[in-house]
Amino acid sequence: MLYFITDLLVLGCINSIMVVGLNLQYGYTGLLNFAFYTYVAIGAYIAAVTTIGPSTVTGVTWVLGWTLPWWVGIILGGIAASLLGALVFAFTVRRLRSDYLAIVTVSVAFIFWNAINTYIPLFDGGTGLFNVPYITGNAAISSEQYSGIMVLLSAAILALFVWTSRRLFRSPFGRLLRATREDEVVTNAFGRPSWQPQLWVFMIGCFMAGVAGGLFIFYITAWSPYAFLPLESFILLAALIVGGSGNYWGSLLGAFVLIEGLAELSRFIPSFGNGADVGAIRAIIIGAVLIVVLRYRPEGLIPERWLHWYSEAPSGLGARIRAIGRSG
Amino acid sequence: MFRRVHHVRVRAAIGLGVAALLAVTACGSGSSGNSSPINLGLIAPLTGARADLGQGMQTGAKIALSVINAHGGVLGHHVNLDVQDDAADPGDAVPAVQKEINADNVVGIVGPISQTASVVWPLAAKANIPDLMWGGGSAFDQISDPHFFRMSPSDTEQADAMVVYAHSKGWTNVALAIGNTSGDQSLVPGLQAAAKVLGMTMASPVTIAVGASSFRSEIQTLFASHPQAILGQFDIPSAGVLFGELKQEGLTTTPWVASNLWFANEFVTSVGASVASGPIYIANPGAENQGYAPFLSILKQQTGASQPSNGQSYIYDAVNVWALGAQIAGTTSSPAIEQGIVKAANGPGTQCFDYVSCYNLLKAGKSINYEGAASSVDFDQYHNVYGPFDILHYNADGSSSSVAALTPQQIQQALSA
Amino acid sequence: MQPGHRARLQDPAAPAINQFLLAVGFGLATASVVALAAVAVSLQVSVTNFINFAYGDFMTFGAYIAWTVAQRGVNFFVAIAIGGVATGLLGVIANILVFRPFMRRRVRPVTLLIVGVGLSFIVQNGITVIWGAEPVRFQQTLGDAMHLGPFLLTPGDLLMIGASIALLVLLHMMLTYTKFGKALRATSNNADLAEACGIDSERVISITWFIAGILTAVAGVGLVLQESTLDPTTGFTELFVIFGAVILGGIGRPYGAMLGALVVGILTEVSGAYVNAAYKGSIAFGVVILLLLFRPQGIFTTAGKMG
Repeated sequence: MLYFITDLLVLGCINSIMVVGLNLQYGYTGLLNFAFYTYVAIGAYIAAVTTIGPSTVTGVTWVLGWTLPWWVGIILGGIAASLLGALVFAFTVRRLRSDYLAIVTVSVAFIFWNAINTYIPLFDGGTGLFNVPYITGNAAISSEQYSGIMVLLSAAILALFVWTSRRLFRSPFGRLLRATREDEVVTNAFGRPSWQPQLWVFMIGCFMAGVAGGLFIFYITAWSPYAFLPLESFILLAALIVGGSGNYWGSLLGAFVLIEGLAELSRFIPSFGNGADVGAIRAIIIGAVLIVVLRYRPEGLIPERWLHWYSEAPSGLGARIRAIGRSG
Repeated sequence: MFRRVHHVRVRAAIGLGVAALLAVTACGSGSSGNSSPINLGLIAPLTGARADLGQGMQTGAKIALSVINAHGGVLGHHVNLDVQDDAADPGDAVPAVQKEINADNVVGIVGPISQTASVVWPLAAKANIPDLMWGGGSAFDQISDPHFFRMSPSDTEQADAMVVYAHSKGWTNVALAIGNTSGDQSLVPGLQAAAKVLGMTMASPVTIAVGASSFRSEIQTLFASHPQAILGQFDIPSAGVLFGELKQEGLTTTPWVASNLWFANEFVTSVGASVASGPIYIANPGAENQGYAPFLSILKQQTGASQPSNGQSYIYDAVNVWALGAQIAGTTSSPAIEQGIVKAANGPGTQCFDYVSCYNLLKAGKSINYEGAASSVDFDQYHNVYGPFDILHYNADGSSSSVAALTPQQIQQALSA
Repeated sequence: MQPGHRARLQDPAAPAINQFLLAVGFGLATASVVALAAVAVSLQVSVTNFINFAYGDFMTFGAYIAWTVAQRGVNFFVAIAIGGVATGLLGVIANILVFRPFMRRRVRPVTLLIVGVGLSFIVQNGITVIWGAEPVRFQQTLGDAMHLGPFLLTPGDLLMIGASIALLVLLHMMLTYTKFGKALRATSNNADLAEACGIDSERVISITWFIAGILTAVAGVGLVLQESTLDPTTGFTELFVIFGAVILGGIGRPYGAMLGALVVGILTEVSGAYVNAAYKGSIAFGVVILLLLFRPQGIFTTAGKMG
């Protein structure tokens, strides 16, 4: 049981990294990116093809096939994702109102999915990549021990990204972003071109997605088109919105509760009736919670204002807490 | 006075408690002796892109287990089926397996399909339990880990059988219609290689994409080379669409040689019995599958269905051969269970075609050779089921009959000539 | 076998133009289904100014209702009508329960899009719970394909094309000549101004959802007839083809949507004849992207939404 929980923690951390990245794009900057999971997938694929060497099984093919160390592969995955994100951003974000942007990003996600699934020499098409070795190489460790190692690694990376998120949020850069999010026209009028900070943040968000993908593939040891159906981006977005967009605690809450909690704890429900029912009811719950939260608490369960209240309000309870903290 | 009553009460309580304990331990399953149930894990795509297969896999396991449990379970233990959905997604398969292994302590796993098997069987192997999966992916052709079992022949073998049969009928100019899932794509290298060896003309594969609403352009491309036959594998719903359009265009006289994916009730209902009983030939592993009839009657008895769905027979065989293997080995633990499974499946021994007759033979001290519903369930050195192949043809009433048979030797001979 | 049968096989000596025209014919059949759904979407967008992401699932719902009713032996056309009414009601309920509370608060269109995504989850998975995830077969044999000039069409195709044209003509007459039609056009042009003129825009919107629902259901059945198979994701996978048509014709312009459907339908079939058919699905998405980027007002437009 303990190791099942460890497994859940790994997946929870990886999902949290994704939601933190999405938060940078949607929460901080207001850019709706339904192609987010595509960047996760690119990160996973690149991390693999740069580290597992060429294919040794006939009929299974992929590009590159380098043998770099695993951590280089993960970083390369992140970079590839952010470069792709920059490309997509350059073509789309500057021109579109947000719901049209959403539709365009779904289309982009689908086209990439179709291309990867069909063009086999790229990433082995529908079969995907498998037998990806553990990051510990040939060391003989059990899957439980590996889960433990991956928890530490992904939690560390999550902490790093959350810290990055926080710095961005607090910085003048972050204020600019939020100003842009609230009213782009005014910000532009004040002489600050809105798209440059947006682009940087978008790329950082994609980098996080790519890293999450790399971690994912090294943990699961396989990846295929069925692992990144365009649907997955919707679920991430739902998690972000429900948890609370615009702040990282909300991202964590959304990832752990809505994605992990709901999905994995529902495994304990004995399968009843039609076998697909458990999964279907889970999806209904996600949809219903999303609509209810948007209606009654659109800022999410953990609103951004909490952080502001705690960290920046000049007077009131938050200030008193800070004063106490400072004086020790 | 109170104390005496107290004593009586306590003794009564103890007596009741012991009786309850005995009752619980004696309960177990029907006719069995002791009790604690054991868990057999099933990993299947109940939702997601391959939801068309999951339900069948679950039913196949359930009907096999109800027979087994009605005959004392496995080594006296009632067997519970622990069903976990993996949605054909490796990311979901990992927590599914972890739950079954770490939280539910399963002693063995049946399923999943090729899409997720490459993450499931290593985890099962690390946990030292057997995994009996179903799927043709060529990635599983040469796995030497003894925990791994595959209940269906490799796509390479399937492809060889299809091509050899087409060649034997004199169809040397063929077209290919292949779906865009990984299970379909993995047939292509084998088909092309075999065609090359036999000197056949094989057109480039035409992709039959899952979920498309019309294939008329694809049909034009398929027939552009005037093929004598079409070889293919793609999902059954798309077959329904495509054959519907073929029928509308009067193109149903061209023969098809298909993989065993179409050996399922859904195919007949999807394309219609009149089309299904046309010149469609299905290469299905297992000569004359004598285990098929008992499987059908168990299926009918338990679910009322008279034709099987996709996946049912394979998982049914998997559960049966696992249970028989446990009976032979006397335990559900590795490595004895894997050796038992191989003995149950390969023999040498008396052939038996369903769990009950095999079980009775074992009780009588004989060795067995389980011949299953989906195939003859004979494992090669890599624990893959391998040939022979039946070439099946549907009759007008939806039942199927064999029109030819290919042994592995025949296939090998044809391809080395 | 009738003598005409042989003629149906592709003649390799036929010039490429024949293959092109055949594809065009197939595209017509596809387009007729897309047109109904696209017009429904455009109508609804024109009065509410947001795109309902759950439309594909409405189509699926309508098809399942029609299938369930037809299974019990009800006449095929009556089954479609019942499916249409049921989907119309679903649209009205969705509007009242889900969308209207948001619209009253004048949220951003992107919020309504996300709400639509949530609704899509609910409807699609609700269908899964009720009818199961496995595909069901829904085929009505209405006859074999016939050569009509350069085209190869089945009676089912012709029925669908005919039904589309009929319904769209009815719609046009409704929009142009009835009081409701005028109210609808007014609301789509400027909802506030229409309210000021005494038009109850909320009622107009509700009725529009109902009409859109009916059209959607018929489109759903048409789609299923073409595919012969139905599962919970059937409508959703068509969604972007429909979006392509809607955007091509100009978002919120029902007449444009009809033309857009024609173009998209023919484009996907023709391209499928020449490129690897597996990429056919991407064509519709590519159309959507290019249009939204470079010409979001559509190809046929000048000014005004219902012009």
